[in-house]
Amino acid sequence: MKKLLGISLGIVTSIGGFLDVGSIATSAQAGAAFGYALLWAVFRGTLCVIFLVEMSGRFSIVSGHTITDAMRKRFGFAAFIIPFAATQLVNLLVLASEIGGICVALQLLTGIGFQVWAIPVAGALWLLLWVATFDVVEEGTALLGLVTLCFLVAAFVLGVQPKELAAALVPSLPTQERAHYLYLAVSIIGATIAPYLFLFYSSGAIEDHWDKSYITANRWIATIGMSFGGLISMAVIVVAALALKPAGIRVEDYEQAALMLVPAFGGWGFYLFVASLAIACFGAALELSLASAYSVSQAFGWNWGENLRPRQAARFSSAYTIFIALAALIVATGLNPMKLTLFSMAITAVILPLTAMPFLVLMNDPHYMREHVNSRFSNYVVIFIVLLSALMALVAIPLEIVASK
Amino acid sequence: MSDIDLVRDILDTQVLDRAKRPLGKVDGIGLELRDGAPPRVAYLEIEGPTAWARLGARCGRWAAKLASRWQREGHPYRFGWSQVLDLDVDIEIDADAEHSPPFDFERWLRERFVGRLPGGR
Repeated sequence: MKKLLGISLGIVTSIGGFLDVGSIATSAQAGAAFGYALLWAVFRGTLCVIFLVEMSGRFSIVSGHTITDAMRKRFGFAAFIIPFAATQLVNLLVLASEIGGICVALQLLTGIGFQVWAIPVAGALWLLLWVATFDVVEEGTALLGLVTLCFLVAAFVLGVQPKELAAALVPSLPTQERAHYLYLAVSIIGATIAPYLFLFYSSGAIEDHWDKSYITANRWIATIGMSFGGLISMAVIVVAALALKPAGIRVEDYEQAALMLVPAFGGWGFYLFVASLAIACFGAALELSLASAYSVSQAFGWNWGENLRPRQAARFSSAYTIFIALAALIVATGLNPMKLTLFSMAITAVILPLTAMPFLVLMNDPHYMREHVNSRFSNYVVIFIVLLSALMALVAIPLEIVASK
Repeated sequence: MSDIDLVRDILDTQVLDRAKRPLGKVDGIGLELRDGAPPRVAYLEIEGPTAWARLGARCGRWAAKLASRWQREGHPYRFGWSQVLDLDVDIEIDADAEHSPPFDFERWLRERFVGRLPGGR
């Protein structure tokens, strides 16, 4: 019974954590500009993240290590610390994007500019981590995150065409705007395979003392939770394709994206979008702040844990405090949140191999995994998707920068 | 574990105190060279700047300078095999994390910042 509760909670959590600012922004742009054409990117990213999340759970169950802890031990401090720092830096950009998403939602609601909201939003986020026990916070936002299911409903209301949808799961190249198409494709993959997602998941498995009896449950949580998240991202593309593209609306800003639910739900659609954006970003921002503080603590061997008082884990709580403060500063500079988000997601795709490749080495090391090492198939899936996406991102980012000048 | 590989099993491993609280990582290993006998492990070290020095000497000096802001006595913090209680995923040693030198940074942050903020206790 406890396990069943754990499974359903895990699934709800992954839905809450999966759909974040990155998925909403990239999918909305993709659908509005290219219709269904980029669905394959979500599909491919979701496939890869299912494998990675399953691996991260299995790794912690079998080895007793969190991933960060094991990476330092396996590769040594000197080889570990630079890719680690790069990943944390990108996490910071993603956190800024999430905070930016909440601020934009507030701007849409009140008309007051998003920069103004940066400090109050970051303050609220920080306060929640500082005073509340995280269990309550996480489960609360995860449940509220179910509001994002409205995209799925809207896709059916607007009449999704299953045949076209299935056809778009195979990659294709459009005849025009190829550079922007490629950039969106890697941003979508970066948004789908966020490294913090599987780092966080492995910390959770250790904290909840998962033993070997959880190996099957872990597989189910990863598969169902991540596919469900992927399904909602796909729904965002479909809705944008059906609601925005025919009207010729290009999504350069969140103002345009906010209209995507209106054809399905009327005036309420606007508020549903704002609520989805705010809640999804807030949940993701909470997870991301904690995931980074966890990683830093695990890298240096500090005490960490979601239910420790700030005083009992001063280094841990200082880590997320600094992290949130820096992210708030980035938002307060007034960078376009939509552009910041897309850039953060594309950069995530670039640095993904820095986390994923060493992680695969761990997954194939019998010293850690004993008889539970990876199958050859799952190695190939992850290597193929991660390396190809990184290569694509290295081509697409300079092209996008040149084009936007 | 019958065979212990110093770099694989000891270096960079999590160290816990006797109550299983995290104390730090094995940042360095000291060997004692002996005439006519194989070298012997003299001590294990939990000391941030030692880890940073593995990136390069300058990095180590920079980290040591920074750490001198919060470090009190007892640095570098070293312990011997005799203090090791258990060696599995982590290394458990006979020490008390709260009152040991590796916690200087924790105490410094607590006294200067965290404890002073509302709700920080």
